[in-house]
Amino acid sequence: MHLARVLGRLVATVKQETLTAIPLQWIQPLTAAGELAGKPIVAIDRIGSGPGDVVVYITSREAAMTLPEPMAAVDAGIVAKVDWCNVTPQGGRIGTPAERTLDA
Amino acid sequence: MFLARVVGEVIATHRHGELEGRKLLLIRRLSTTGHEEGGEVVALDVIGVGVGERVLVVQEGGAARSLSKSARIPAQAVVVGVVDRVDLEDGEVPEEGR
Repeated sequence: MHLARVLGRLVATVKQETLTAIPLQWIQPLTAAGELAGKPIVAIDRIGSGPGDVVVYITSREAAMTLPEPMAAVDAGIVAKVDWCNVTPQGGRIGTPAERTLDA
Repeated sequence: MFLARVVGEVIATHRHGELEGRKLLLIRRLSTTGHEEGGEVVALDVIGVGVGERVLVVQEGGAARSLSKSARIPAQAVVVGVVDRVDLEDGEVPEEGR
């Protein structure tokens, strides 16, 4: 599982059957410091995130575990919306990757 | 499995139902010289570890499901141990000065 920011919603009318009525989000993988970590990917979203949200996503076979039907044709799925990350050895609160990126 | 350092914690109120009540850690893989490398991975904590600790991580969906006793949990990486020391042929992997 990794961190990412939601770039925006992806709309596809014609989809394979198992993807029917499942929201798709275009997400940009991030490091905890808010830096880009690889290229954007498309993930299914069953928790209801929106553009700008920092999320935790899961890849490969387990992405389908976010759905009621685990045999769906997906390879990335959003599993949590991040409030913030504690990333110092002392556990001090320094804000979400999104906030830090905006600060930078 | 691999060695990693716990570098932080993810606070997320809104999450998938199967992840409710579970602690999410930010970890970074450690090299054989004891240095952090690569980006952060979000891992489940089933033993109760703290930030800064050197840990053993398993990264496989089936293992995550059996360790968390949930057949449907969407998780891969799980922290399964705290590493006390690693002995190599030419000495110990240094515990970094953190």
